[in-house]
Amino acid sequence: MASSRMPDTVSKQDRAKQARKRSTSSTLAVVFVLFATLAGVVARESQSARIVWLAQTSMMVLLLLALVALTGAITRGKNRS
Amino acid sequence: MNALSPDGVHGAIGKRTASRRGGGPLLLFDEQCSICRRLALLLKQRDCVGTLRIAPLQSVFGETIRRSHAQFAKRDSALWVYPDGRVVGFSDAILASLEHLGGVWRSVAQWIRLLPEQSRNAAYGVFARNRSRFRSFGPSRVDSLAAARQELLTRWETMLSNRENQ
Repeated sequence: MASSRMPDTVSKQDRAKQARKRSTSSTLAVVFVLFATLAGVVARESQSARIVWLAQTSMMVLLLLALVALTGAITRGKNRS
Repeated sequence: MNALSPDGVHGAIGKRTASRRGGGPLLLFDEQCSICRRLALLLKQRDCVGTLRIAPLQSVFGETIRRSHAQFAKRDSALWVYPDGRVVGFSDAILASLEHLGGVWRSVAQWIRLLPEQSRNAAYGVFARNRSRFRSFGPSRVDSLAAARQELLTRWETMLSNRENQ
């Protein structure tokens, strides 16, 4: 009886773990997008060419990271379904 | 007053007055591209101000504008003509049209404007070059109508030739 319930328990734990990872990835993606927006605003408002370049580069890198995080979240979601 | 109508510029639909129609912005789009046609249709439907005018790039007016701006003559791009006569193209044209819609579209456009212009235009260029590959957009209503008309013509010709053979 106990052995037949074992896979179920493992599966539930596994599912919860995956859901946590998915949630973390999504949150991370949102945070990256927010920081990218901040970098974009800095780039738009700044007068110095160097700061503009730095902010724009940061924005692109942060958006790339957000894309990676989002892809991770989606992939994990697909694996579980 | 719509002085541009003989050249193929369609006036905006919806609530509008004659005086408003003359001073609105103008979108020039590629008539042969189904995505561009869909965007134009969306803009027409959502233009609650009623000042937007739309014309194909292939019209006389579109050709004139393209020829008078060297940067748009070489590369394929939608064009947005502001009421003050300023002309923008590439990603700026799409963002200007989204800003014209207002609401959420304006916010989205303003967010995308934060991206470096070179990156935006590069992405626009990649999308514009490969737009025929994006099957998910599907044929527009105009495409469907053209296909239906062609099918009817083919059927008619087949029927006529069959009759002649009999």
